[in-house]
Order: sequence, then C-alpha cells, then structure tokens
Amino acid sequence: MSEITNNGRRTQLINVILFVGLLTVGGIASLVPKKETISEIENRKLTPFPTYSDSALWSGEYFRQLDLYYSDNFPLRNKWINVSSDFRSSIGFQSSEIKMYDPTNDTEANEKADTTKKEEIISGPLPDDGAVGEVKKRVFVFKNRAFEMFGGGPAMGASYANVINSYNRSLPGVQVYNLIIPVALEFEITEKYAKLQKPNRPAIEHIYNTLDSNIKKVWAIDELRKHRSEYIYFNTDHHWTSLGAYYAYRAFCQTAGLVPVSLDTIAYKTKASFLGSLYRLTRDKGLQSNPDSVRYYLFKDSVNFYVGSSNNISYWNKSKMYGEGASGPNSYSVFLQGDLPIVKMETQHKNGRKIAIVKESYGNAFAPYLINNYEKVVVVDQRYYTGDFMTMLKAEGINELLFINNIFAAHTPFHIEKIKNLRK
Amino acid sequence: MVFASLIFLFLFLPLNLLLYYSSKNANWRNWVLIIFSLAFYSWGEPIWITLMIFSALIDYINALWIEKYRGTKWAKLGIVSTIFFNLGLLITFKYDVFIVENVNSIFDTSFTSPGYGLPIGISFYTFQTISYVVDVYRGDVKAQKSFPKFLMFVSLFHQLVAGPIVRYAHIADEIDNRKEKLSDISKGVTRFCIGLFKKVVIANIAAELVAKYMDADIGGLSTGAAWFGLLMFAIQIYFDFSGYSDMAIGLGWMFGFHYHENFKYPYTATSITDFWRRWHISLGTFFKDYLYIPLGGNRKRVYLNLFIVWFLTGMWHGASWNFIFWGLYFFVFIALEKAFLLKWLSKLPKFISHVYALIIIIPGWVIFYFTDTAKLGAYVEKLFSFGAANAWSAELTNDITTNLFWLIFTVILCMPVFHKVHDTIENKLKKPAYFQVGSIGLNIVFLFLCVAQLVGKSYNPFIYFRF
Repeated sequence: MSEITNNGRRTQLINVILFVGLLTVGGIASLVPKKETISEIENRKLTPFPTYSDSALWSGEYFRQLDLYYSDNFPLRNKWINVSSDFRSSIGFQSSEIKMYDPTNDTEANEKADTTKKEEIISGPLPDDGAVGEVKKRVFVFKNRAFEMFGGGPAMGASYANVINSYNRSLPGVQVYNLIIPVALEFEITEKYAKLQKPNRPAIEHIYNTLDSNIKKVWAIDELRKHRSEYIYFNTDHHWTSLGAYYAYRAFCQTAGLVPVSLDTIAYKTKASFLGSLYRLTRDKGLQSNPDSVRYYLFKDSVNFYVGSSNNISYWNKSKMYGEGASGPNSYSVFLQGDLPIVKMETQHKNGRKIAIVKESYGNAFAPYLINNYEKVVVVDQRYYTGDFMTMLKAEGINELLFINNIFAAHTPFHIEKIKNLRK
Repeated sequence: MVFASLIFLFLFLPLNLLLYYSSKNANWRNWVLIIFSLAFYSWGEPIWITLMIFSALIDYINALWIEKYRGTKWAKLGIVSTIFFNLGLLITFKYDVFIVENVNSIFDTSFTSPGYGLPIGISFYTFQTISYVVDVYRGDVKAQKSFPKFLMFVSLFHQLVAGPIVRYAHIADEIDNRKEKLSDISKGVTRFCIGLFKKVVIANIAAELVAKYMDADIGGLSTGAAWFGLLMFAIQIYFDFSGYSDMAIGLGWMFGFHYHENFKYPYTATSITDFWRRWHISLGTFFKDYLYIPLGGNRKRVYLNLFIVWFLTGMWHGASWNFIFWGLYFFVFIALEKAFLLKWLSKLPKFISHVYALIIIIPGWVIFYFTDTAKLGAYVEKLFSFGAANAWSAELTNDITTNLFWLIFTVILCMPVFHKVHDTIENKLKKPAYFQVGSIGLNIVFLFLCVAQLVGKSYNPFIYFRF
C-alpha cells in the first residue's frame, strides 16, 4: 500500500517539477537579450521594448507593448512558429489539390504598417512596402502555386478610370496610356473553382470603356493569355515575373507603335530560391517545395539611372537600375531597387519620346524594357511619391504617360486615392 | 494580464510559485499572493486597482460593522451600504452608457455618460463581496478581521478577471488556515494545462472561424455558413469560459484553495433548467441564493421572480439589450419547463431531451453575439432561410475538411468521454504506471502546443496587403 502511495507521490512530484521547471527555464531563457530587431521572414520590425512614460503606464499601453515585445522576442520564435503552422495543417485533411488561407490579422498588419513604414524602403532592399493595404479575402493554393482572388466591383473600376480621365483632360499634348494587369489566377482557374474570383477581362473591359476615347488602352491581358503556360507569374509571390512583364511590354509596344526588343539575345541574371509574399503569408509546405527564381535582363543599350526625390524636382542622384543586393524573400526588389518614390532612366535613343509611368510594384518589372524604346523614362510610385507631379512632368518634358496597375490596385480605394492625390 | 499569455506562463507563474513556496510562513505566503494579484490586475488596468482596493475596504468595514451591531437595527446599515455601494459601482462603470442612452432615447434628453470604461473583473468582484457581506449578515460566515486577508480574497488573481464567482464562505477556512499538499499542486498543474489547452487550442481556433463567418458581410453568407459560424461560437464561448475556469481552479489547487466547479458539460443538458445547472454554475447559484430565494423563490409569485432573475442574469453579461433578450429567452423556456415541459420531456426518450436542449441553447448564442440588433435580425434571417439558392459554399466545405480532426475532437470534448475513461482507469485499474506517466506526458504536450500557438499568434507577416 505504501508503495503505491510512494509511487503516486513520485509521479506528482515529477509532474510539478517538470511543469515549474520547464516554465522557469523558458522564463530565464526569455530574459537573455536578443540582437534581432527585424524579422526577415515577416518583413517587419519586431516590437521594441516600451519606453516608460506615466501616461503609457496608466493607460495600460506600456504593458500592452511589453506583451508584444515579449512574444516578438521569445526564444526560438521561428521554430515555435513552424510547430504552430505544422500543427494547424495537421488538424484536418489538407487537400493536395487546393488550399485556402485566411489572413487573420490583416488589419493588425496594416496598422503596424503605419508605424514602421518609410525607413525600410529607403535604407535597404526591404521591398514592397504599402503603408496601408487593402483587405484581401483569401489566398488560394493550387498545384503548389499561390493565387490571389480578384473580387473587385465595377463602381470601383469606374472610379479608377475617372481619375485617369482627369489626368488625360488636364494634360493636353501628353498621350495617356492605361494598362491593367490581370492576376495569375485568371489564367489558371478551372471550371471547378470558377466562382472563386471574378473574371478579370470584363472588369478590365469595363475600365477601358469608361476611359476617354483618346486614352490608349493596352490589352496586356490578351497577350499574357497567349503565353499562359509559360512562367509569367511567380508560384509563391503575388507579383508577375519579368517574362510576364515582357509580354505586357509587347502589348504596350503594339499600342504605342513601337518595335519591342527581342529577348532571345539578351543576357540575364537569376536570383534563385525565392519564396515570396504568399509563401510568407501561408507558410504552405507545397509552396515551400516550389520556390521561384527572379530573372532580370541586362540590356545592351546603356542607360543612366537616377533616383529622385519628392522634395526637389531637380534632385537626381545617379544610381543603378537593378538592386542586385536584393536576395531571399526580397528578391523582387531587384527591379528598380524596389519601390522608390521616383526614378529616371535616360537612354541613347534620342527620339524625343519621353514617358512617365505611374505604378505600384508590378510596374517595377515592366519599366526596364522601355529603355529600349524611349529617350527618357520616369517612374513614379503612386504610393510614395509626394512631390509636385504635374510640375515634374513639365520639367522633364514628358510627352507620354502610362498608368500601369494590377487589377487589385485598380479596384482599391487606397490606390485610387493615391493616384488622384499625385495632382495637388 | 491573462493566463493564456507568454509572460504569464514563463515569468509570472513560475516566479509566483517559487516565491510562494520559498517559505513556510503563512503570512509570507499571503503577502506573496496579494502582491502578485495586484500586479496581475495592474498589468491590464493600472488605474482601476485603486477602485478595487477601495471597494474591498468598504465591504471589509461593512462586515465588521454588521458583526459589531449584530442584533441591533444598525446591523442592517452595513448590508444596505454594501449593496448600494457595489450596485452603484456597477451602474457607474458598467451600465452608465446603457442607462444614459436609453433615458435619452425615451425622454428625448441629451445627458452624457461619464464613460469611464469597464474596469476588468468588476462584475465578478462586486458579486463576490456582496455575497460575503450578505453571508456575514445572515450569520453563515464570520467576518474577516484582517484586511490583508480580505484583500487577498477579493484580489486573488486566479478568479479575479473572469470568475468563477468564488464565495468567501467556500474558502474562509483556507484563507485563514490552508494546507498546501503535493497531490493538490500536481492536480492543479494538470487541471491548468487542460484549461490552457481548451482556451488556446480549441477556443482560439474556433474564434478565428467565428470571426470569419459571423463578422463577415451577412448578406453574402450561405445558410450553411451561418450555422457553421454559430456552432463555432457555441464552441468558442464554452471552451473559452470553461477553459478559464479550469485554469482558475487549477491555480487555486496549486496554492491550496479549493474553488467550486463552474461547468459540468453544459452541452449534454437535457433541458434549459438543466443547462443552467451546468453552465457558469457560480453565477446561477449566486442569483438563486441572493435574489431568487429572497424574492420568494418557488413559494410565491414564482414567474415574476423568474422573470426578474433572468432579466438581471442577461443584463449581468453586458450592458446592452441583446443580453437582456438573451436572458429573457431563457426565462421563456425555463418558465415553460416549470409549467409543464419538464414533465412531458421526462416521459420521452432521453435522446429527445438532449436534442431539445441543444435546439434552444445553440440558436440562443446568436442573441448573445450581436449587440447590434439590425445585424442580429439579418443573421437570424440567414439562419432560417432554408431552401435558398445560397445554401452552401465551397469555402465552407474547405473549412470543414481542413479542420475536420479538430472539429471531431472538439465535439467529443463537449461530452464527458475522457472523464469517464479517466475515472475507469483510475478506479478499476488502480492508476497503472503507464497511466501516470501518460498523464504527465499529456500535460507537457498540451503546454508545448499552447506555447507554439501563442508564439505563432505573433507571426504577423507584413507583406502583401501593402502592394
């Protein structure tokens, strides 16, 4: 009898010691200060230790931030995150064919975006920073590729078109173009999943029909469709590849009366093992097994590349067209060094054609092709450029203006507002 | 602070346990608990800690007053003061906006409410102290002479924030003279791990699905999705709340306190009356002992008494009409059951009673969920739009299949299956060694998964919403 009791006591002791011991060890380990201040994989700053103030203390803000700091700096955080996502994918059947993910804390991500934005864009190759974003409903994983699903409505499309019209009407003598980029799923969606997104072509048609008749509409979607089985969109990232951008460029050339450069003889470099944004969002194993590569072309024509400033239209700092230091999750930033507010390219083609491009990040992969056809290419990021856009156009002698946006951006109030506000 | 947080698990709790057990001195142990409890409370609401201490002081004095003037007319003053003071606190801090808004809309006035915001735990500690003073008045329990000990009772972090509503009478002996035992601490550890698992691995995952369906644009929901969202909320609220109670009870055991059970598999109830004997038991018994019975209970005006009790039970859950409707919804069924329904049900197979109870309980949660009555109406309409074209969605199938094992496991957890297996092994097989090792192992697995989920929650990829 006493043996049983002793056994019982021993088990109880082990239970208690293990529990308290593990927590204590973890607690001590958590107090060792960490060096990292940025989470590469999440592409954000880790919550810093809160600074003390009486008001922060009494409002409870101090402790809230301390909680965030603690979990952001928890020992072996990345390993724990992997355990968590493995666990979450083991609590049901993971269809090998499709998966859907719900970004659960997108509003949180957006709020954080406000506090951590600019430095990262300027200081390094951290890519693709939208200060405020749109709420994306879902990510669709299909055959180890990730897709966003388009669901924009005609009213929003019309409001985008009207903003472009207003530029067209106030810039006589400037030929305006518009190019809407479809999403990858447009070309991959099967009958079975047809309801997942709205078809892109009618939405693009609707925008083009709303545009003034003298605006030239670029039917990139049709050219892309002809090449749908090629590597035109990334598997794990929401962007298109340089090849996808190339086909859009060909469509543009057709509209603009230009002869597109052929890629056959052009040298290129490749950044391998790129796991992009949609992988980071979903941490899907299938995506992990299907990494991307980013190819960028080294055109024969020489080009002078300048980085400009929102504050001073005559400030141009010579730089390089490709941010070759971009790597890993940031590989897409190789194009135009990521999302700089304004850049300019000047070429040997003294043909008098000077174009400005207003874009979000999709435009980065597109713009470099134009150095083969234009004397000057100015690229403005609609999200970050805060300078005097109209005066800049004049100062640079711009005579063509291209608005290039992916179909989400063209249906998102945030982007539409940003484009509208370029004109002060 | 909350239990299901990394700071609580890795810093607060181990430090508290180590300091508590670093001395055998009862006084030291009490002070450790008081200081940790106040720290726990200040973590979320540093400003309201003064209010809690002040409130404890008033009730402490009132109880002593009652004892001093026992048998005289002055004794009543103590109890009146306590009830006025505590209900005053609730009205000022919890119902201010609600009352002012309703007064304004009825009388077309434009009063503004002070809008202090709701201090954490106020609904719980006011009820705990009311029950204490009433019990002293009734002579059921002796007044606590030591203010630190009384403050410890009021502020004990185990149950301060989300219950159960612990009655002073239940732990009076343990406040003065408790004996911590290894077997209790070990039981407490196990119970805590189970509670944590229920909160983090069941309730939190259910909460994501609830948010997805119930916070969505209701017009676009399919009927199936509306029901699924509602079921997920039934799961979320049960596992969240009962998980919290488990953790509270487990923590109590770790420090030598024995709190009463707060949940007994409520979804296995056979009637609404039965449900409320299994759901948030400490609240139901509070209203029974301190309101229903003093009002006359079953002896006179029984339906009026029931109405008052359920009106207030609803209102206790939140300062909004939907909570009152929710309470009255239960009043209707409890009254019907009292009148005849229970008798009818007793003649039918038990299975039908279970189905009946769930059919009432689960749709009831929709009233609880939506504080906005327009949304409530729209959601109810969705729930009952059978045969509509939009009956099901591919996304719903996907959510069900990708969480299928979790769903099945969760439904099993709503029933006392594991409890019965556990009892059978413990009683018939006399706790075999593998069982003991297994149960320790399970605690570690639970803890491990919960930590992973809690860290995983901080994973906040900051990417493509920003293109």
